[in-house]
Amino acid sequence: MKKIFLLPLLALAGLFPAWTAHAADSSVSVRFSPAQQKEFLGKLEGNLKASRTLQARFVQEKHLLLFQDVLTSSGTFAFSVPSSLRWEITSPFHSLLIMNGRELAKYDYIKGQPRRLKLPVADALFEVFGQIAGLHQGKFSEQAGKYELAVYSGEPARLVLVPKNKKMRQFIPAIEMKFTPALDSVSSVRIREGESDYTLISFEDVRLNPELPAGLFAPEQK
Amino acid sequence: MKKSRLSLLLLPCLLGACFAPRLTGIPFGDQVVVDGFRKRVQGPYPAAYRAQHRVTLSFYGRQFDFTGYLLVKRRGAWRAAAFGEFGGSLFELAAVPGKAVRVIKKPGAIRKSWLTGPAADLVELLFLPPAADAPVVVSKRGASVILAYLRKNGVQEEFRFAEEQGGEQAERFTVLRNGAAYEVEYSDYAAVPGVERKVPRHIVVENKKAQLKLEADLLKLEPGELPEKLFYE
Repeated sequence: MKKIFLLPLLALAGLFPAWTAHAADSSVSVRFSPAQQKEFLGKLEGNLKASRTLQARFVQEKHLLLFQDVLTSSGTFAFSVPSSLRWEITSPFHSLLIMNGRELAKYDYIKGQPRRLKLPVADALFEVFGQIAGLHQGKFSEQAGKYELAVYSGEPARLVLVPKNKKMRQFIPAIEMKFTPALDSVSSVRIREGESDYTLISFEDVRLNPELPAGLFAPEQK
Repeated sequence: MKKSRLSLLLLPCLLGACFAPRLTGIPFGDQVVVDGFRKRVQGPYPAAYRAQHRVTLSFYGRQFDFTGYLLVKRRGAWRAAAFGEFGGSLFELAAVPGKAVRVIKKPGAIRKSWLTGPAADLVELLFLPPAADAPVVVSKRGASVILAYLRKNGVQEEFRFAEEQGGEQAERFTVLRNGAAYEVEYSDYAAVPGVERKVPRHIVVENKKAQLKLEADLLKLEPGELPEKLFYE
């Protein structure tokens, strides 16, 4: 009975859509057994490793529940084995992050001209980029030390990474990855933050094994 | 008895002295010029708004860039959040009139004293100018006209303008606050729906002594009512 009274309140608070979406998700999603998970991750790893290069567009949405606002940015992403990565935001501002082996470079743009930034926390950014590169190659076993992995059924199935570190879990309770139906690339990443906010990165126009222009991952940009 | 009555009579004067800004030069009385400068101190921002900026902060030669999300409700309520490349929170601060600045989120290694000090100062200096009816003392020192205000938290804030302003596209002035001098430059003005005056799309603030420089590019500005709870939760 109490729940019936709570529903309008939740709806008024703007929480109802989020709550129902979550409930709908849970109703169709079942956690894989350890054997199913091992098989799924094995297949995924094999498929993802088959791509030596990758290029895609992305749309990133930062959902701020308290402020009832969404901050959207978009750009392009490129990857080449073993550890070259380019993350370029083109809208609503221009910024560029490049990782090439052990080198990391970040640029902002002043009146269209790139300016290389001297980063104060390059190591932390390098680690994040390293993890992104690893996940795009299906190196899930490398993440198992830092994250609890779980796969949930659905179309498509989703991989949930829960940080093992309690302090990190406070800020990032989970990272959810979805894959293309062919299980050959990542289609979206949802980074949960705190109890309500999250960032959703959706990849579009994914090209597997394209020939990438020389200099795309060059840390020195002109 | 007489003495205590005298004290009571003097009390408002004493309080007035405490809550008035200090004079820092020769008194300046050209009311037309003063009105113009007061309007510039007020800035173009509406009474309540949301804003989004791309910010690059340089500190001792290192740069740190983020997307800044700001809510402002005059007088004195604001909330500021910073997000990194992949949407992660870098910090979040909130302030309401009469209360100290609160750190709501700080997942990284940024010092709390830096957030409640220089970072909060920059937000207030740029986006929460003194109220239009705030007491001001105007003086002149050399070629500069100085408008001195006293914030409710007791901080004296001085805005220094060159008396002769050229017809430049950018607006420059210096703000002295909490013992620090910030050189402010506004440029690339544009009209924003619902905002009376044009708004600067590019802001540069520099504190040379602290080797601190902030460059902010406006991405979005939305005037509109903001619920009180946003500043308290």
